[in-house]
Amino acid sequence: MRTICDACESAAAIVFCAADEAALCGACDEKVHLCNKLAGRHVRVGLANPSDVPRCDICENAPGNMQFPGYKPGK
Amino acid sequence: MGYICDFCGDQPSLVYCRSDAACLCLSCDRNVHSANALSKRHSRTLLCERCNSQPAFVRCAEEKVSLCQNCDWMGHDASTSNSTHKRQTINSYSGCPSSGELSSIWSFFSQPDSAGESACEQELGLMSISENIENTSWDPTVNTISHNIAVVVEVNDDCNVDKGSGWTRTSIPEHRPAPQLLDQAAGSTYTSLPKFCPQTKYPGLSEDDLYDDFNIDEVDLNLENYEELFGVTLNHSEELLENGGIDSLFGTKDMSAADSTCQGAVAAEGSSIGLVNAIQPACSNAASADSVMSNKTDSILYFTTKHAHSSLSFSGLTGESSAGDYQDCGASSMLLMGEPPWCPPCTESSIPSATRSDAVMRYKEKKKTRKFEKRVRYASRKARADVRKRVKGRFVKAGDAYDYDPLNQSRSC
Repeated sequence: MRTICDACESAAAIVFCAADEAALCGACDEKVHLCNKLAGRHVRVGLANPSDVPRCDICENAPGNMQFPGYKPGK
Repeated sequence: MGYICDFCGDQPSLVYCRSDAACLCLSCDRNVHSANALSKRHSRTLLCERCNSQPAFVRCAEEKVSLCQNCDWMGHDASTSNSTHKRQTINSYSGCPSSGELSSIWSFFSQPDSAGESACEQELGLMSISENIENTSWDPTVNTISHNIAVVVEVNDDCNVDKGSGWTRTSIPEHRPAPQLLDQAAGSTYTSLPKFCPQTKYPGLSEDDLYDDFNIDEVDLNLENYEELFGVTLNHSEELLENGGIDSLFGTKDMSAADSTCQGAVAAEGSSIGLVNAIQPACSNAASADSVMSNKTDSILYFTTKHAHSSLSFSGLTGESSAGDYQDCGASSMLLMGEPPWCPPCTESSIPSATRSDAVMRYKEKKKTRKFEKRVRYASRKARADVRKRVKGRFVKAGDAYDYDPLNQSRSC
């Protein structure tokens, strides 16, 4: 289940614009932000595919964001 | 940011768009924010007239100037004459209002009409519909929270809204969440407190339970011996002390050395107390070597009984003294050459019978509430543990290939 674009509500959203507070698909993102030099300054972040995000090893639920390379549980 | 519109660079800027973080003149504001459904949602407000770089927050009626928060605090903070100026919050807007509507929300502000504006007006009949009624209801509270000074909120905004054709007018969104957050924070702290209190009690109980559980055998033994031994010594020391204080212990010299043969714990105790007094004079006197030596060893016994866990060590030392251990002479002589430092322990031993009985009572009470069954301390941790992946009953990291052979020592851990 992925976020739907706020503008067209038909495609999956791939970026999130903090200034506009909206998740947009690629086409709408171009439409909104390329028409305007002010809008073009908006910082946008990419939205990850839910299946691509590594999950927490312990609860298997929330997305994990810390790694401990080389950690071995002590015996 | 500055005095000139960020977009056209031509006209002086008048409004500030929070989402775009840009200062714009009115016509550019209209153009930019009408292009797009998303940009229409941006909230714009007047620019501060002092610094021209931040959105205006209040309008001072006395000075007739719109100020951002910084300029407002700086201008109205120090001098008392200024701090009573009446201020009115400036509302922000979104959508594409006409200049007439803008002047209605900012009734104090007469807007310069640019030629291009009136032309745009007719074209852009794009007005958003909903209107926020909450503004005036919580504006006073916001002001009192943020300023704590007399602020007048214009109520005629209500009437103007009715006249306006329904563009959204929002008050400063930054402050809207503030009172809600305060309530939420207060509410959450209140709800969290009762949750935490019962939990914090349990660790205390559990610690005692655990402690008693693991040390039960030792504690019982110690207490039994302790009552037996210490009770006797207390009696003796109390009697001796009553007779004349500590000095009396050292004053009497001639307690019989025969007692030092240590027939039992009781006898040894009594003799040790009696023989301590013989130490000082014994050093100076050339008493019999045997009595001196036994004095010294018994004085060691006397030292050690002052400690709580001395029951076992005490019995060990009684054995030594009865054997007439000469090796202790050297060591004990070192101890006794100096001023005897055992005076403070002497006083402590007689008093703590009250505290000790309290402690014993407490132990007996807690013993009744001990629970040795399987007990879950934190339900949330149990819930997490239940869903965790296990291989052969052990927790494993999800995703690792576990071909688990406990006998195989080739694993890295």
